[in-house]
Amino acid sequence: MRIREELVRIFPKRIGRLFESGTLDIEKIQEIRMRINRPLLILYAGKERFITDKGILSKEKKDTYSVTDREIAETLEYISNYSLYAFEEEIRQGFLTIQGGHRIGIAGRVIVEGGKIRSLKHIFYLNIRMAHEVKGCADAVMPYIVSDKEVFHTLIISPPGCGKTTLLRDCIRQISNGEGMERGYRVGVVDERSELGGSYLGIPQSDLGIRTDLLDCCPKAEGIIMLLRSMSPQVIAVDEIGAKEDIPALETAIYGGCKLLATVHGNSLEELKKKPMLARIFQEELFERYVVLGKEGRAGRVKSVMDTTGTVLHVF
Amino acid sequence: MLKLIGAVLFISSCTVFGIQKGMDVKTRSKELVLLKRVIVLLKEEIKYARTPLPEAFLEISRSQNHFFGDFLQMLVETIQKQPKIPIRILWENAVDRKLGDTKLTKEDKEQLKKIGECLGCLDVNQQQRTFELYLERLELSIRSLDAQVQEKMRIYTCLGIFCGILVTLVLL
Repeated sequence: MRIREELVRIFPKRIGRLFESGTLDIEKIQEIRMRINRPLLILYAGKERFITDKGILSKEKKDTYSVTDREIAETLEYISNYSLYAFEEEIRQGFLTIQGGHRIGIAGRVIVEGGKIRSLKHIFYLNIRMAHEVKGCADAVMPYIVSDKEVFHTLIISPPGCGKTTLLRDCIRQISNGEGMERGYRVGVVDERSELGGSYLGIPQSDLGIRTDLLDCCPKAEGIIMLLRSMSPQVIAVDEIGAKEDIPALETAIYGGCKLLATVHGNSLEELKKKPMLARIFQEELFERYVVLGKEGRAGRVKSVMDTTGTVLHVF
Repeated sequence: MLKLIGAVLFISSCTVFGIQKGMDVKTRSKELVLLKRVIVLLKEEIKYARTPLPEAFLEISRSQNHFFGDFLQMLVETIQKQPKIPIRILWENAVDRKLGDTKLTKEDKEQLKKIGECLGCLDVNQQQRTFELYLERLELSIRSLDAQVQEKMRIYTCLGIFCGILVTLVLL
């Protein structure tokens, strides 16, 4: 009910009515794509669907709801509470987070000044990514990434849209709360794109546990160092590593005595080992556990858990 | 005797009407000054603090105990109800509904409505330019009114008296 209200609130009346009608299971909506003069597209339970004027999902393009420029402009107004200028910094990064932790990706004409992105105008493409908190989704992998005495350095490997952030979020919550463990750990989260905490006005909308400190909208490499200096975390969690500067920061965290939880885009461990940027991670055996997610069956399915040598510990 | 009393009453009424019209010019000038103050505050809230509009409206309305404070307060209340109406239309509606009792002219209100077109947009510079242009026009109106206010008050008062006398003479 809460998610439906959050969703209806951000759309103009006509689009809002499509979601108000109750024919759609809001929990199954993962993404809503708005493109000027193009059909409204929904990623629903992992499948791309059109939506008709009556709010019914369809595989066919016939009678689908077409988005107008005015509707995109209005959506932006409602998303930003009539104050788009207040989100200038977020818009420069290409997204903003709204109440409920839902993330709005935006695209349009980019204004570049001195080789750097200054702003965006003519914003005509929106991607509303619904925040889904699935408490307990990490239950199956927790015994492999946490032992009685310690948390293992863990890397979650997953193709895009397979639930790696959702899984990481639940791991953070359980480790922070100490669920099923002897004790809870101080967890520092660097949430570069506000996806883990879904912070709105600085307040996390997702439950990240009672011992979690969050750095919102902070670059990963700088955030890790900041957390080490300021919050003395026992575990540091970051989403989507892969940039050149991430690896030295991860090493610093490990040498500083912190345990790491991280995610990375990829289909398999073998594939990642071939990527030059990530090769160092494997050469130095930074991680002790690899959790591989797959798309087979349903999104978010854990395929296997491996140890630092790549030996499979469990196949799900 | 009755005719005389009637004539005196009629001339007095016309005189008061003339004085009232003169006072309206002065009141309009004062209202434009108050409006200017509100727009300057709004401009600064957006420029320096990037305060979201509902918050800026609320802050300013609390410090302005007059028509324009009520005008902004009404906007805040409307926005809180999530009416799903663009800010441009909300602003126009508020001008029509809350500033009806002021002495602002139709032209004053039309100019004020135009501000709504850029409110909340991403480009702060564009907003600032719109505010500045509006403030310049406001300043010109205020100066022009201030220069004419004494003269207009005198003219309206005299017109009131003379119209009263003229009509009385015709009727008698």
